[in-house]
Amino acid sequence: MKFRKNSLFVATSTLVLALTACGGNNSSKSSGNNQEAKALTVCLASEPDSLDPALNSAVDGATMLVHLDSGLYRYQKKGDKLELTYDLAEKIEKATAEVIDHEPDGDNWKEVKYSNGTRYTVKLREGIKWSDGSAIKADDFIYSWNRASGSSLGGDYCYMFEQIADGVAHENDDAKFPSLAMKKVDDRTFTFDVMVDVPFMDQLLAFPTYFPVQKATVDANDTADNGKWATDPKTYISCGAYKMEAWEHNSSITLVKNPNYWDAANIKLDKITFALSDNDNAMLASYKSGQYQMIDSVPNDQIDALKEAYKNEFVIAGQMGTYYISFNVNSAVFTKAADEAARAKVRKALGLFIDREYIVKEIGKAGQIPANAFVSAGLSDPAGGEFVDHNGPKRDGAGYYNKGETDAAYDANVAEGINLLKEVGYNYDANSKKFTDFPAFKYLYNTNSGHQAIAENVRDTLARYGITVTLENQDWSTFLQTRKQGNYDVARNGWVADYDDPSSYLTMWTTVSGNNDCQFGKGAHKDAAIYEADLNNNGQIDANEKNLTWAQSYDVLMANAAKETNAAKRFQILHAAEDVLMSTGAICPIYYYTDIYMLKSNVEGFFSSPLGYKFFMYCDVK
Amino acid sequence: MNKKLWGYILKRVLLGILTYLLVVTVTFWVMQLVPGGPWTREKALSEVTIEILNKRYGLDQPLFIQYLRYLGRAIIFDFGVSYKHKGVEVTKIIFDAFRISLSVGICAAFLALIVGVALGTYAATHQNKFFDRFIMVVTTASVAVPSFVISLVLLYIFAVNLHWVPTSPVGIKGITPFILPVIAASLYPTAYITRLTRSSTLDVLGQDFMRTAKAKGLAPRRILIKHGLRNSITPVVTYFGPMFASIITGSLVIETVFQLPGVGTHFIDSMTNRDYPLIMGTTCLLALLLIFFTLVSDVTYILVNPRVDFD
Repeated sequence: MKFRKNSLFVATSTLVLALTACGGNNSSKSSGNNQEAKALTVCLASEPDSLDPALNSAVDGATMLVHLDSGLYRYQKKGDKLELTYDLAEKIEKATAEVIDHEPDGDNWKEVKYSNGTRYTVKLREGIKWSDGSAIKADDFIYSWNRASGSSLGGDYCYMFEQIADGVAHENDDAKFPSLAMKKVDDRTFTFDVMVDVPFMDQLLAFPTYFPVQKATVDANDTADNGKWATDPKTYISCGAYKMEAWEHNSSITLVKNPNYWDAANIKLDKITFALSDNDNAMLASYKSGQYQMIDSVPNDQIDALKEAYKNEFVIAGQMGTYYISFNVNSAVFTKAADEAARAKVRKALGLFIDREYIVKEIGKAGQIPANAFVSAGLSDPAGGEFVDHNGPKRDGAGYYNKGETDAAYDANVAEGINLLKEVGYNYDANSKKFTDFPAFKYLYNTNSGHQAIAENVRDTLARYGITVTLENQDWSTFLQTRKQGNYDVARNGWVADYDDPSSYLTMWTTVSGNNDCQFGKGAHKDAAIYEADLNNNGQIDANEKNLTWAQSYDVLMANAAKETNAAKRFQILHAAEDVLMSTGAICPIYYYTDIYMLKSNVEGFFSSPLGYKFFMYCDVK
Repeated sequence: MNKKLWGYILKRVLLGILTYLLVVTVTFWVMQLVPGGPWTREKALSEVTIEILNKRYGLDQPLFIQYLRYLGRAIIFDFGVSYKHKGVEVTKIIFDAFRISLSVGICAAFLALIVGVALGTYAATHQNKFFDRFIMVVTTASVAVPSFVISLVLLYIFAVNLHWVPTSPVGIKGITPFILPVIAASLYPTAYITRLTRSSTLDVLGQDFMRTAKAKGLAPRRILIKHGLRNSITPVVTYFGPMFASIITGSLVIETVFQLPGVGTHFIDSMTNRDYPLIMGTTCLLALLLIFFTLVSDVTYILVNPRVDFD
């Protein structure tokens, strides 16, 4: 009987407690009574797909990789600014050289000579070592870049090497083109050739896909499948500030300081544990309990309360990313609009009705910036400041929409939208202030409460003007396929930059791009000759620059931008490309992303980059 | 009798194998029907890359050939490498994760069995008294309240506020991170078993043989345990097998809230990622366990209650 009474007591008291308490969360005792000196436990996301630098394509994976591995350049914080400084490289020099590239020519490849190409000569630091103590040599870079960019590996980011001569050929057929244009000079020196010296080359050299991997380790372990070497701490030979100590799959990855790293003396933190979870509530609970010192995501519905309760620990940082709505230019919904030009007006009008300010303030809540262009805030411009400071038809940073930040500005947007739809021929009833014959259309989004909230807002906003929107959600993979195949009318969309250059945004809308969700230049849109583009790059639209198709306008501008070596001229072309893109109305920007995270106030020396990478190596735990 | 029992088990094993192959078949063809594929990315892969990946994983073969290969692999329980977790074998992913789910599941299942039978019997023997009513209210609530609510409430009270246990197993040695998940996982089956035991015990208590035993002057506790429990536990045994199989294969909610690297998460994630080998691996694991524990439960049912006919 005694046992029965005890078990009854335990069970009932547990249940009573569970059912009567309502999750009090007033604990802010916080920080790290149980943490070791100079160690951090942080939580960014769930398990990365791979920590093989050539196979990773995720931002959280990239954060782990910038700690485990290193490239020719690294990011460092100098004052308030982020700077790229040499990492494994001692010196990188550029010289003009004749560069030979192989480019597609129908089903074959043709040799193309660039007499004004650039040859980079990389001198590695003396005495740099892998975490197992062996020397890092020029051959390691040549092997790693060829591996990461070749068709045999099938890495997500193989296209990041397309700037290097023979990059495209090697990416498509590495049996025929076994190497990028790279040459070893001696154990510490190698060269590589680029057709056009792009201004963001140093960023690429700091990008994880460009990090070296040890050939012997890869060969020994990746016999059955690629990336196996990078799944086990025993075989994870790295070259960065840290080495992998443990990987409890789906639970945590532990990094300890790598004594063989050339700059180990300046690495402050001894140990970093990356907890692997993507549940906001669980992450926040662990942060509140003091178990985690940094979390990269918080529950959306608690943002307001957390901002208030953790004033010194809740951070909103800038991020290069745009949340937008994409229209399928070949959708048959807006049939009353007779031609592509009229359809562009319809799309533009719908974009004007969207209340960006409300979405940012009441739904996003994370300090997002209402957007009025496609290329995000945060990207640099050689003319000074940011790309967005010089966007818009007048290059005055006014963008392509009024952001509608005040009531009057929003009302003006709505009035303009109504006029545009009237011009196209839709019937507007002045009494009810609604359109009476606008066709209903479907708004597609992937299943997620945040996207759903925005979708509902769009539906409710447009309903005010008599426009019926039905919402449809699909799971992520299905959604991506539907959108890429163009089987939709209107869909939510988003894009985050890979590097600080507008080409990271604008290249995706060329006709052949795999990310051309709007279907520009495809189907019926292929023949729509309505675009005007400053192809001569003389600051005006000449007579022969009007009535162009997508292939004749946008595709040409992007091809010109890729070839242009003068930074100022190149950016003029990129701005012109954005003009053409925004004239379609098919891109309806909503907001520029921000990156929210929480960091304990006793952690100093942390910084993050606008690409979303987090840097813990210089952190000090007080 | 023994011969008959072995014959029955053999028949069930053969039926189990057939069921397993059927599950593999249905899973394979359903996977093909679902739109999207393992190489669908927000930043699209090039056609060449997709072609290479399809070739590497045999997805360029005709569907029927792919099916036969899957079938062969499912028989020897070798599903190859995951498409998502690059370079990691599916059997390793499942084995690592299953160890955690199994440990939590076994503890939770037996906690549920012991507490559930005890509470159910107590409630039945004290029918309509305060504790009976109280237990019934609590068990109804435990069944009705979603497990993510209960899990979060437990997490905030005992881990975040009281600091009795850690919020996650990361960096913690010992069993403390598993206490709350075990309790959370056991609540629903505890409540269910309590209600099952209560109603079956009430049935049994009214039976003639119980009255006879009482008339013979046997002690009440002896009557309850020796004559009552053996009969009243029969429905619990039937429920326990499938429940055990389901609880040891993990719960997405509990693993997510308590950040446990169990196998439950893989069921959902593998579908979301269209990670065909992992979908197949997790489905086969669940199918095998369900088949096995349903058999164990049915055999136990016969052993507990010899009156049950094999047919």
